Amino acid sequence: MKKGSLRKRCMALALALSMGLCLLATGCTGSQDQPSDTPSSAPVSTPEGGSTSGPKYGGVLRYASGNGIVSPGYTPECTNNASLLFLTTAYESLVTYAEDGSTIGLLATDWEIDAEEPSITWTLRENVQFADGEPFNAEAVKRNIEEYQSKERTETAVITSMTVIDDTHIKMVLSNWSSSAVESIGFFVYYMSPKALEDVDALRTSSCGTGPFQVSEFNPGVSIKYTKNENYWQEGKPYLDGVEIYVVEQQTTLSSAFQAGEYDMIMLADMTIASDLMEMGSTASGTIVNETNSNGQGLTICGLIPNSADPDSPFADARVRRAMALAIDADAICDAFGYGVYTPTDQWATPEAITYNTDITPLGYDPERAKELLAEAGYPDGFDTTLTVSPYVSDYFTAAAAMLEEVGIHCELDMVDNATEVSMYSTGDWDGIMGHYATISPDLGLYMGRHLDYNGTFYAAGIQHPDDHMGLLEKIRTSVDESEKLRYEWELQALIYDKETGSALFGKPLLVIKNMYYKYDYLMDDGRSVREANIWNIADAWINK
Amino acid sequence: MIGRRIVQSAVVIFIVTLMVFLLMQLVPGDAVTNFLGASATESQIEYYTKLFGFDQPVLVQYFKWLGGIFHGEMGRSISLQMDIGTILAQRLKVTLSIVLPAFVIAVVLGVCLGIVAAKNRGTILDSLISVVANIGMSMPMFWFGLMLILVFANILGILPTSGYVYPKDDLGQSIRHCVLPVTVLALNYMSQFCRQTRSSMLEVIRQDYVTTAKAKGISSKAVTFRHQLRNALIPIVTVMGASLGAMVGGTVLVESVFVIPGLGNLMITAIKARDFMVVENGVLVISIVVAICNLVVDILYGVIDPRIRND
Repeated sequence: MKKGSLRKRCMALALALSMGLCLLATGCTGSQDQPSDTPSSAPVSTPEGGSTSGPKYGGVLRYASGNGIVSPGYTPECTNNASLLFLTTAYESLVTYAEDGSTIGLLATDWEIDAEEPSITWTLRENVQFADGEPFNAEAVKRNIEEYQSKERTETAVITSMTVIDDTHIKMVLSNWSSSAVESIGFFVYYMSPKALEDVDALRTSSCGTGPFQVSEFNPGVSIKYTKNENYWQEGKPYLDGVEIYVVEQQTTLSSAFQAGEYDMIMLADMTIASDLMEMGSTASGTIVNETNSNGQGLTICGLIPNSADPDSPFADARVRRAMALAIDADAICDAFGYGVYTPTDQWATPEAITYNTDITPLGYDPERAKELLAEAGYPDGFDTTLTVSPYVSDYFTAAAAMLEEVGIHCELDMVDNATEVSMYSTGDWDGIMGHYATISPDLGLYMGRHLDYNGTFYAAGIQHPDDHMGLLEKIRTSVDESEKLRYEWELQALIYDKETGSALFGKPLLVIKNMYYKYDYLMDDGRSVREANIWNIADAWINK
Repeated sequence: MIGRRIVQSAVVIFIVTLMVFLLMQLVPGDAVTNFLGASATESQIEYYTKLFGFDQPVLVQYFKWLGGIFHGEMGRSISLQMDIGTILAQRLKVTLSIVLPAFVIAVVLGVCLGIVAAKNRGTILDSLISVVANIGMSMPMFWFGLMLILVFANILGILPTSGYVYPKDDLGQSIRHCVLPVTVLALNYMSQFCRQTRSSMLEVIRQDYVTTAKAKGISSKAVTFRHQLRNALIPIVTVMGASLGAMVGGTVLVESVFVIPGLGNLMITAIKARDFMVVENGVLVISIVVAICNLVVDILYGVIDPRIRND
């Protein structure tokens, strides 16, 4: 044992003795063995009793994050991105994403688009069963879509009628063609056994899908445990015996538990703690790994959005919005608070994404030009405004407020909790500027549309809806040709984010929030966040111990 | 007297629940939007608002809830999608499994150390106990918990960092998981009881009846426990009663640090989700626990000092 390590242990022992009185009273025996509930403790074996190079069977993956767990079994009620982790463990959709971000079949093997009618005809995978033994077929798809429609899910609102052609083919007629229809219907509907749907209350605390694992124990707000689906259609999969997901909101405890080897994978929300963990590099349990995606699927950007809907606000003028964007140095903020995990961007995309327009001059950092624009707009001495932020990310916004002050925009910081923030951006009821979070998956028609549409549900009520923007959005949505769609998407990026002519409707995009999932290197092929930020390839995951 | 106290407690509980209900209505944000997420459509929001009765006037909602309580129904949580009574019962059991051992340890150690300190007033032992008590009281539970995790879980590796195991699942593991949170809670409250005991004992230690007892040749042990401690107990019991109630409702920091699925954690989650019904029922449960603690303290006054009972 190293000298330093011995000294550290002696000091810890001395500290421990000073605390020992209470421990003695509670009957602590202080044994050196690992807790019996230590993760992945089940012995692992290789399939077909042999090769050590291929995936190994057995073990339980233990994952923890601060996100809550709600209704894992009744999928129409799982509405936010965080739910996708639970959904993709027990359920499957018609399509999923490849690592390059393109759409590939999962429960569907093919789909035929008729943009004129408009309709989509899906070819379903054969020999797939739900966990209860019920067949997955066209009737099951129809039943599930009807269930989603009864819960007013927007993804299925476009479907006007469905025709079951045979067991493996179903035609969906749409009210209007949308270039996002395949992704919207194909990825966001997770199929439940029609038989299980007869008792929705029971399904809320269990699961019955076609996915690799099914819920065995659900403790709301605390944990959810899954066991292997013996009816799973992918031969030989899954490799793991089970998956356990825990809620640990306290970030220091979460990191400590991970370091102690109590979890195989965690998701951190605190940048400082995440940075410390990565600096550590490894623990007795293994090397710490952080994987991410560059295709942009499911990633979030964080920025500042001004309320331009109020005609009396200075931000009703595009020049003021551009001045606001030019006054903030996003690179400096990322360097100071991003710890290498957050990266700067200046459009509604990661710089690596296909929809990023490389031909425009971005709204970078140019305080002098910002002052000129403010003067042109009639605010040579600046003005006072409010900056509404969530306390979790107050550092970036405090820095941004200081930068805005430099050009004369004096911000009073208003800290609100998450629920208040949701209420404000849903109703557009914020004064001045507020923190802006947006999913930046490459499809602008689907994701930017939620913010830009007249009746968009995110921030849309607090911004303007210029005709040229709305026209381009419509063109993106109705494009049948992919290259044509991409051209319109680049045009829309230019219309909003060009330094001299952009509308800056979404203010300043500060940074891309890359994934803060950390795992040990013995966890293989889980694909956590690689294809889409919120999902994993849990059927392929195995533990190399 | 007991009957009067029960009526008073019922009135207090009623006022507290009404106040919490009304105050929660003033908080920005609502349960349905939080549950459905910002992508919810108006018709979705309308559907769930009606389903959970949030479309009715506030006072109607309150008295409907109150009526349900008298029929043994606490309603359904929108954020957890479960019966609130069931989930509160589960969480209260968990909280009590941490609080009760901590309370017993704190009482035994606190009172014993307080007596020792008072009997050895002005000595090094008294100073030492006072220092320990002051440290215990001034150390934030949150920080102390994290330090214990660092030492016992991360460095020594002899205890788990966090989590909770039900005794029925694995008693050994359950005890191991409880050691650190119980220690944190116990040390804080032990310090309070120790200081209170010392101060109360010092007040009675020079009383005439103590001198008389000693003059009669009664053993030192009997003088301490029958004459000094018994007369010093009233303020100690008062502090203990208040502390037990506070521990049940206020373990949130310990539950948060050690990831214990108790009542405090549930309340915080519910407040964040604007799940008013869980908060309201949780407040009701905590108010009842506090009222019971106060009632027990009132009964104990009479047991300790018969003059109070006769009054």
